[in-house]
Amino acid sequence: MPAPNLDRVRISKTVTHPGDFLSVAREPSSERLWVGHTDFKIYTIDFAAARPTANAVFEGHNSYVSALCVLGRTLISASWDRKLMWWDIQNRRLVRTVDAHELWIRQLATNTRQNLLVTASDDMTCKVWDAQTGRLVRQLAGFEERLPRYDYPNKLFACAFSPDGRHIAAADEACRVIVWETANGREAARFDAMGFFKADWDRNNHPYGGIRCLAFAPDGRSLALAGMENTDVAIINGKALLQNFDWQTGRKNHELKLGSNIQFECLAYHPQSEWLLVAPGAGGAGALYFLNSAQPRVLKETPATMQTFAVTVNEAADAFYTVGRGKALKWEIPA
Amino acid sequence: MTKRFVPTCGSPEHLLNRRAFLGGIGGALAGTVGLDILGNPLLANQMQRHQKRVIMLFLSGGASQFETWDPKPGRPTGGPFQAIQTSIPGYRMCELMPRMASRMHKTAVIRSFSSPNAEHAGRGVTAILSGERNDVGTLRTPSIGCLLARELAQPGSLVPDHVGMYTTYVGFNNNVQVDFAAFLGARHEPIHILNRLAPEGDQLPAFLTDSDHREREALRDHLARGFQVNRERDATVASHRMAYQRVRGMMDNHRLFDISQEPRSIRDRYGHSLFGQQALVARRLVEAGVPFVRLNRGWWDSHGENFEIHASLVPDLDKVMSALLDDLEQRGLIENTLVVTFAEMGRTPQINAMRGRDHWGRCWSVTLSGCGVRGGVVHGSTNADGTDVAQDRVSAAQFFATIFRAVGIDHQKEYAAPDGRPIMLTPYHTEPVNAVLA
Repeated sequence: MPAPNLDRVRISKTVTHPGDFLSVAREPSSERLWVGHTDFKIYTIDFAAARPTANAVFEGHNSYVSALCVLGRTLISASWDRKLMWWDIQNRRLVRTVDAHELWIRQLATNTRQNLLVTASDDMTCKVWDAQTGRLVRQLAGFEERLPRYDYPNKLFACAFSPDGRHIAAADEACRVIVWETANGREAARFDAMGFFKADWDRNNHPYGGIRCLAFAPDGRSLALAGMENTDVAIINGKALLQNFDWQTGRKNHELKLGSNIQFECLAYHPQSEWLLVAPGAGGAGALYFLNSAQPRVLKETPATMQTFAVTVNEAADAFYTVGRGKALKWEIPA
Repeated sequence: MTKRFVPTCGSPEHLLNRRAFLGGIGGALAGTVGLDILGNPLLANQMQRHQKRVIMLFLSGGASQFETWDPKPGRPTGGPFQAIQTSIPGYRMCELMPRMASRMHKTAVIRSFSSPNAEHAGRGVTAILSGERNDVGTLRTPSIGCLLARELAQPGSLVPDHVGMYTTYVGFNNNVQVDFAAFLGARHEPIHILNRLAPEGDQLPAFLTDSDHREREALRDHLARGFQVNRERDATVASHRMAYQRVRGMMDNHRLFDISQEPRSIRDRYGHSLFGQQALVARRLVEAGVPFVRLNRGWWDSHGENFEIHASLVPDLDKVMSALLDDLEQRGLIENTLVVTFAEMGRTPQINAMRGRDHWGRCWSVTLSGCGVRGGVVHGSTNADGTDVAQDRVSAAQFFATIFRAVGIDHQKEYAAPDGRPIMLTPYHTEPVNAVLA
């Protein structure tokens, strides 16, 4: 079967809806998405339909739905309201609510092999959860609660499992990255990625930046970190920034600065590392970039057509879905 | 024309009319430039007890009312933060301010402030700082800080009448948001402190000892007295001499700006942000008799990532403001000290593509705490999405009238401008917001 051709990437279906879709999870081997919104609701979109629409299904959070995952017939949602919620997809009912963190939950990642979840919160902890029971397995700490100067609170934007599930990585506003061993919570690595953080004390007297998303490469050896290189904390006006690290040594492999007035907020690897897809979030609509996984090289650039807040790639890597400001899009990569 | 002074603060100690009190000793002071009233312990103690002071927390750049005093959780304009219950039944404010939420029974919030200004600089800012008055011809109305400094100043005081502290140079450079005394005179202009805790040059250079400096000052004073012969009525000459005395007074008082004099527990309570440290200096200044201190806390201009910026700055505001109010209360100063939050504007209900909020004047929030204020009052409201005032619109002129009245100043008091035109503290027919006054 011929391989998907990035030069032919195109939007095949569009769903419009007022407000911002912030998070997405796809039911495996299907085109059904679950999408978290700034109106605190969770929508479903079936892109297999001839004319897909966004339909609100689950309500219960009291703030933005920041992250989602699907495990079997269960949808798990995380929110700025500090809660995790388990939803029965088939019977459309709430199964469980857990008061998970003391502050906003920014990200959620899954380890399907071990049925684990990890959450990252501005209380500056990651927590590992039993995805089946909602039991707290372990708390991971190590980030500073305050930024180094002038006493501002730190923020923890991103977390991810390694592909084999053995490691968990997280990154904060001050661009510190910590990697733990999943099995025992022992710290496996820590390093600082420079360039994502601007501490503008004199002009604006507050910081801005942070690593907004991260992902292990499919071989588990490197970590991709994304955000922006900002130049003014009042507006998003810098170049989007991606850095690639050998996480075990803390050595930076390479970096790329792309576009203008955009910030990368989501990224996804091709299952076999053929490319790394990064998308622009808040700021200008910008472009989607398919990057070489191992080198600082753009393979394909295409207009994102919206501020993109989350992305998911299908198993065959011949389709992917982006959600963001006012839209959810199905993209196809024909052969 | 000067209207009858009516004290508005309910506390018994405010029943003494400050102007009557000063009038009583005025004869003794007439023509005695530089007499240190505070040198007389009896008078000083009484005057200090009754002197009103104002600390203005100016949220420069425009803080969001949604992420502070007027949240709209669950609305399309609301953003991610939730609302929490305050100590006022039925009033909820943003979750980023838990400390102030538990103290709102001591504060009055006006959620229906409205102003035409939606810029950081220019005529709109000049107008809002002077109570929404546009300059006519050469006539320029002084700003609120200078008017308060003028009205609350103590004759002969050797501490400054007006200190303006800035955390950022945005809002300060090119004088875009600084106070202006206009015809009131230089005495009431602020001493500016930018990005630090003390004015520059408040201590002697290394090559000059204190006794050297005093000897030079004595020589200058001797020559000045000679120059003053037959010029006793010349205000410029008197002002010139007074300026030297006040500089010397400032240098003698440089410890006022030294927060290391404070116990560690107090410093920790204010926190270690520049804003927190400047707030502690402000408390030391008003305690020493400085009548007006403006703390310019910037920079709130959150066109991009409004929620991240407010997640950083609002907890600091919450910590500093609550520490300041507690400290003033514990020192017995809150009865005579008014703490105001104000800004040049608020922020838009709409959340833009950068997850930011833009400039907005139509409806936003201001607060008053302490002297002359009825705590626990929530005045005015906005509609469900915060796009307009729903009830009891309050203008800058009304807000300033309320501030004047809270500290016992007749807001309809009239000055004569240099060209003879009458100019009132607030425009004719302006009424204060009586609902928030004690």
